[in-house]
Amino acid sequence: MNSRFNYFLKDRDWHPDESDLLLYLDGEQPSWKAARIRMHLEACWACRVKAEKTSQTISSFMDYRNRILLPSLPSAAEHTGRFESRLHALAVKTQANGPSWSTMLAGIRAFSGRALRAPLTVVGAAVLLVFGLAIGVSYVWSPTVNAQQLLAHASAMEEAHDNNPNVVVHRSLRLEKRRYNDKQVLVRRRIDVWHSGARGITARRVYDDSGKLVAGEWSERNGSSAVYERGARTEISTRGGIVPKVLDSPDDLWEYDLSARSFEGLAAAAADAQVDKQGNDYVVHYQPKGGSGANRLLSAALTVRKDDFRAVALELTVREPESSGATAGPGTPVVYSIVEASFEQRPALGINSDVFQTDAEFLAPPPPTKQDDVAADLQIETTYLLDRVGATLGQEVAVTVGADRKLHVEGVLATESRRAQIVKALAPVRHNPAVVINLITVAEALQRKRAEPYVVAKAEAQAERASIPLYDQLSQYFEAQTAPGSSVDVRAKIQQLSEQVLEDSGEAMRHAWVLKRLASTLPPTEIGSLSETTHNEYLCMVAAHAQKVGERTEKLRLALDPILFPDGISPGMAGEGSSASPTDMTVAVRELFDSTSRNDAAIQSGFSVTTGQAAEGTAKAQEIQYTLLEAERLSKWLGHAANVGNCGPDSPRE
Amino acid sequence: MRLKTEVSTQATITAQSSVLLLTQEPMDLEQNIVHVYETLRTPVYQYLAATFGDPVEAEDMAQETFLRLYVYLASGKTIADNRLRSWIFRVAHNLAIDRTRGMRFIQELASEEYRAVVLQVPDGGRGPEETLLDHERFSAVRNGLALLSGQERRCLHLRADGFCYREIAEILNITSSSVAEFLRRAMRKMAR
Repeated sequence: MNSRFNYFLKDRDWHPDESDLLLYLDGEQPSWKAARIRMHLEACWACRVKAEKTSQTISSFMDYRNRILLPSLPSAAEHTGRFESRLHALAVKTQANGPSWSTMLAGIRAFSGRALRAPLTVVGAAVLLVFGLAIGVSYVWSPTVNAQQLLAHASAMEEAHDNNPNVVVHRSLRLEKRRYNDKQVLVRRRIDVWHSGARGITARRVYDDSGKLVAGEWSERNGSSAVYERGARTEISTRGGIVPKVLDSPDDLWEYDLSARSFEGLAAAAADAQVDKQGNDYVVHYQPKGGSGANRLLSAALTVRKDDFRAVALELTVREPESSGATAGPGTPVVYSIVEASFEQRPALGINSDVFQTDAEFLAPPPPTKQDDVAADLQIETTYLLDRVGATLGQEVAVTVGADRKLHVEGVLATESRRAQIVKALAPVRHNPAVVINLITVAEALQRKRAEPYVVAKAEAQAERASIPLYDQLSQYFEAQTAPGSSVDVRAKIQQLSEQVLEDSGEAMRHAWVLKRLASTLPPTEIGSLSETTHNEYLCMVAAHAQKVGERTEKLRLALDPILFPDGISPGMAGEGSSASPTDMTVAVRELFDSTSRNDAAIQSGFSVTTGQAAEGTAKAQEIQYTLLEAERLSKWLGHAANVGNCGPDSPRE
Repeated sequence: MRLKTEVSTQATITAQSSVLLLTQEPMDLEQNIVHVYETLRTPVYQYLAATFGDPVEAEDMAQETFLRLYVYLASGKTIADNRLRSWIFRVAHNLAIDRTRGMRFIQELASEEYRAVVLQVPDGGRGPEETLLDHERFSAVRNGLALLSGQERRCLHLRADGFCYREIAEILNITSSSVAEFLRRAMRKMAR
């Protein structure tokens, strides 16, 4: 009893510290100490409060963790597919490598342990002997590797690596071309490849012997790619056809991906391929059966590392096609080889994104060459031919110089017969390789865009109260012209005049548009460099269209003179100079276009039917008066300046 | 000739109350690893993301962990049934330590993101006053977490994942008494 009393007194002075309380709450205290703390907490309010406070802290943390922290993390569930492919690739590799020594030793330990525990040690010794023999056999005899399986395994590994978002792969490859059985290298290139798994982008740059960037390809995971070659082409395409393309044009082999996947595409009958083991590599040899005729591929060999199943070298023997660079001669067997010079994987975060950007030198337009002068002539000639059949009016056909430095003639035409007419008119340039003609009919365009709704603007009848802003002035004029008692429909006359005025103004505008387009097509500095014939054609086109603007403007003025300008106006002609400089003409074209535009706008607002309040007719009349005078003056000046007297009877179609 | 892989025939994941059968056939092993991955990927990923701070890297490390499990079992080694879960966390932890060596921990939730998440937390029918108190508590915990050392943070999250002190010590390769000390310090910092 005494000892119990002493213990009680002693224990009253004892208090568990923070660690003891936490261990107690976590169930980590030994049972005797847990019992002691439990008893103490029953007796001690201060320690009970401390324990509750710790519990509250735990509670708050768990609440924060479960309601805020963990839900804010991106879900891990979406990556299961990628894990399975990685695991499968690993499993394939593990199985392909065969059982390791550690596996075998583990097996020996397990089996020998059981055998030795058995009463018949003879059985154990026999088992050991069998294992010993098996190890020996497996060491000496190695199973044949199947090409299909090997390529499939390597492809799975490549896919897993390519999709790894955490690393960026940088490979440097060496491409060489030589004649079969000849060591002399005909072409040598260095290919620099960057691949980002996170972005799904592969940037491939090709450098020549001197280290100059000569080509590049930027491809995306969805299969689209942009190919650039210095001074040649920009090709946007899908990568689906790369294998046949390589066979047709082996000089484009730099676009080929050095991988087991690509090799599977090349060696269509991979089942026929053979695998050799060479040191640390597998070499897959493929020789197409009956490799003659259209099949240019004579043989292919892919080297795959045993360590990581990465394709590190490719050798193709092909017959040089006629379209090739003919460094070896058409039909000559040539050998192309791509060998990996370096390979590195870098953390994605530390990579400068510039390596995936298209180089500026591919994007910048090439410097002007003599070829551009020829293109200018060709452009004017083509425009002239189109102009003769009225195809330059409106937006029917567009003539542009593409990034490929070719002249593109493109348009959507109302009917098949109209297309035939334009194609016929383009006969002199149709077979020029620098001209690309792409003319389709509306029906074809609709077929192509079947999914898009074709919206037809429907002209609604105007409301009864609709009128034109100049209605009052026109009405006064026509009423004054009408003899008393006669039954002339003034409203019908106004409508007839309005339609005519709008049509003339619209026509003047269309020709002014052509003039403007001609002027913008050819800067004044280049007009002088045109050949004499083309220069003449150019001037004739300017003169003809300026004349048409002048005719329509004059017609407008004559129609509106007695109505809007009863006091009479004078066109105020400019001097009829015949030796205008290209700059003068370009400025005049621009001014004529501006003036005709203002004129058209004024006429549109003065004569178009509106449902709003009638505008101030006088103001409209004054505006039209001014712009008409200006347009007529400029068009006549231009017509005289451009018409040097050598223009034929052809004139732009109305 | 291929030796049969000797692995544990049955492993139990106690925290998930899920029984995993790891059989001897290689193909079955691959399927079983996928099953283990599907069962444990979320806690492993969450642990890595919460304690090492990079969700993208955490996901990759989580996958790598299960690939190592495959290699380990396929090589004929075994894992005791009741140690599978802590084995996976230990491998994940070591992998993360290796990969993030020398890198600074990035707080799991940036301020703007934290505010956005807090505002989206369902109030569970609690009144505005209680919701406000919740937000204050969350803020206090977040501030406390920012003061923790790496080991304190790891001990805390592993304890929250249901591991006992001995298992945490195994995963982190420290002693149980160190675990107790790290947790005590963590509690003190969080209670401020």
